[in-house]
Amino acid sequence: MNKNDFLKGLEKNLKYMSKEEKEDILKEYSLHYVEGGNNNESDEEISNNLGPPKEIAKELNAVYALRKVDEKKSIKAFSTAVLSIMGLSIMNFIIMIFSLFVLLIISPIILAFIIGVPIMIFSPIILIVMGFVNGFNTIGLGEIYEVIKGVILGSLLAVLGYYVAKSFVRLFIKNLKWNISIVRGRG
Amino acid sequence: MNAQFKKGVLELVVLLIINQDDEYGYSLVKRISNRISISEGTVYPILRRLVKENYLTTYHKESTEGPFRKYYSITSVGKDKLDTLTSEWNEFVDIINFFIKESDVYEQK
Repeated sequence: MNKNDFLKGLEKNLKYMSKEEKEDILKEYSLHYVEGGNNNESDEEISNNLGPPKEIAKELNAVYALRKVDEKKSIKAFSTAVLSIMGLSIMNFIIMIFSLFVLLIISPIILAFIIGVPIMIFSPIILIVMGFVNGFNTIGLGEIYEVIKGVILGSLLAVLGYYVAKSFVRLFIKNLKWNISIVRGRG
Repeated sequence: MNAQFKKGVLELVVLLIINQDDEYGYSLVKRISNRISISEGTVYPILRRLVKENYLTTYHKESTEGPFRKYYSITSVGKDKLDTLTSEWNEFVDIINFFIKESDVYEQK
């Protein structure tokens, strides 16, 4: 494989990243060929020593995707990172599938939380609306007591949920980083 | 060397070399591959990751032979990381050596 084939192979397999990032990577490998040439290495030798561009591109994709997650914790950044890490090797794929499975199992709890907590916090409004609809005479001390309980409990759960979610995100990023480091590249 | 061993320690090796002296990609890669057989292309992803994690910084320098060189140098955060990785490595080696010795003693009986 000559220099051009290698760089083309690399470029073709670099995914999800900005043009600048791609160019920066290609420039770095291109410099490697120049330095190798100055040290009397043939393009063929250099390519053989570097290894298959497709495998290198996969690693670079994973590295880039992981940094995006660190920068902005958006759903898109997360799914790109998960996808690119899955592409690294069968081992990474299995670990990732397992992590997603755990996420799937706890998803009903998350969903209940997302629906339940706002209802609790906004229960006074619901009570007032019900007052207008059914007449305020239907609202007794019991209902008011329930609403106060709802607001307090809802607020506590919201604060708690915020911190749980935050540490969960951190844990998930750790999982991604660990996953990438356990099976990095080829021998 | 066993492939699985190499992957884990490549990051430590890269930091150890750059800690001695600033290095450019090609020279760094050769210093590693002279002693450990690796796919040389996999060193660059590690370098990029270390830069993104602020363990390394880069600068460009003219060279007499070629166009220019991209040098990597270690940061203070990188030095801390190197200390951590080194002590983790030593701890690991001590534990493995313990088991090797234990096994030797058993075989001599």
